[in-house]
Amino acid sequence: MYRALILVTAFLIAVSGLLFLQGEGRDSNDLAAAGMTLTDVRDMNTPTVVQPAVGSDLDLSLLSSAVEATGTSAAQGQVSEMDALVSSVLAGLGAAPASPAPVPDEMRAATNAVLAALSGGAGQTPGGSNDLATLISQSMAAGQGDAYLDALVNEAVASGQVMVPEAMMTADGRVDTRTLIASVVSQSLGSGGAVSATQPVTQEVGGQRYYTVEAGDSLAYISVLFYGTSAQFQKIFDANRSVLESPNKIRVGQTLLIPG
Amino acid sequence: MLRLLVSAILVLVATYSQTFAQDVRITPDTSSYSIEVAGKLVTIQRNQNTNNMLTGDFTKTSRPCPPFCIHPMSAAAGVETLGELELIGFLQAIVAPGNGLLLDSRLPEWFQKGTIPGAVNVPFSTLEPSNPYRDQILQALGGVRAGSGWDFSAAKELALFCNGPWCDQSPRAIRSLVDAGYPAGKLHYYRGGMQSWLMLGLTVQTPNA
Repeated sequence: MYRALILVTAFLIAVSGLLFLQGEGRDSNDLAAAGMTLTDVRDMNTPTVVQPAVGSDLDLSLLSSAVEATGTSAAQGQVSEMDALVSSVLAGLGAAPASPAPVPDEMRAATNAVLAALSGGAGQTPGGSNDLATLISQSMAAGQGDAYLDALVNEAVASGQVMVPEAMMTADGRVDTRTLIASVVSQSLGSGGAVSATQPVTQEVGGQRYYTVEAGDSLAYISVLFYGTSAQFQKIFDANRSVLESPNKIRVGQTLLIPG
Repeated sequence: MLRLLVSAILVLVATYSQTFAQDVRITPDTSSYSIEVAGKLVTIQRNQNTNNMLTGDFTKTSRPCPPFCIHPMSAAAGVETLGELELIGFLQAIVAPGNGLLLDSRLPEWFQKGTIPGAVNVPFSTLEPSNPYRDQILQALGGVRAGSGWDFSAAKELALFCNGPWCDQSPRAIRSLVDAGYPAGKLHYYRGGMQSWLMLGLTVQTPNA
């Protein structure tokens, strides 16, 4: 579980690091198009502190697999743990790194984590950085819509800088930012990770519940629909192994058994 | 009639054991402290199970030294050493109004296993001179670059801890800060660390308990 948390942290940091680079460098990317750089987001200074969801089983299990994936990218020299740590610290302190290191190293990450922690005060999630979560909260507070965040996260994934758990991939091959964002929001509201979702339409066949995959669904989202938390995706995946090769291989129109 | 008597006795027993169960206080007058740290209310109290025992990492008696050597009472000249009550007092008097910070000097994986409520994680390694980005942390702590050195007159008061009297990480962090020019008078050392904190059954903040 601790490893999972570290992985989550690394994942969040990787995203935030990416955001830094994006905010500084490329003018023509989606972020700039959205009229907001990372610096802007941080400057909003919204005191929204995202709590680590004590007792909420949020997406940690999901993200843990992402962490492992992030480890892979670290191996590729993209983001090291230390670098992530430093970045998140800096971010937390509200002091954007003076010069985003083009090649982040371990101390960069560690320092950023410390800075994040210091700026976040005691609200810091053990684990150092809720950078993605914070960023999402802040940009939402700043009036940025889901579309902006969706673009942000999807761009990071598309460029291979961060990996997302397979269960968070939708039937259309995008990141399920709907569930991701909802999780963050519910965390910051302290509502224990419950994500509200509309009542799903199911069919009863032989006393079993079946759900038909719609566009934009991910296993994580379906898990939210039926269990109120994305963490139960594995249960759904296990029940449908005969038709699902991996948690990200769901198709629109596919019928999935929903265990009771 | 008998039934009534039995239930009355049961109620009395239940009440009594409940009172009894709340009898593990921090001091004779205080059973818990609620302190607002950085906008978040933290509560510190003790485990009420009088039969509770530690298990796992913090029951080890014989970690090899080096590196896990027993540390002197003082981390550095002029640095005050704190016990648990002084640490709680520091949270109340210094951290709550925003004039100081409680720093967990351990590495993130330890921090995640549980820390003292209100602590922020500043791993000792990030305060070493070898961290090329250390200046940013010193700045965040309130230091101001002054010529080739630092002016820490407006810097925050810090209390540092790590795993216990056998842990080198907070003393190291304190030495690094002092070497960087941080005034010893603004530094405090909770030598007991997590070991003593846990041994007293005090509240531990964990991310995913």
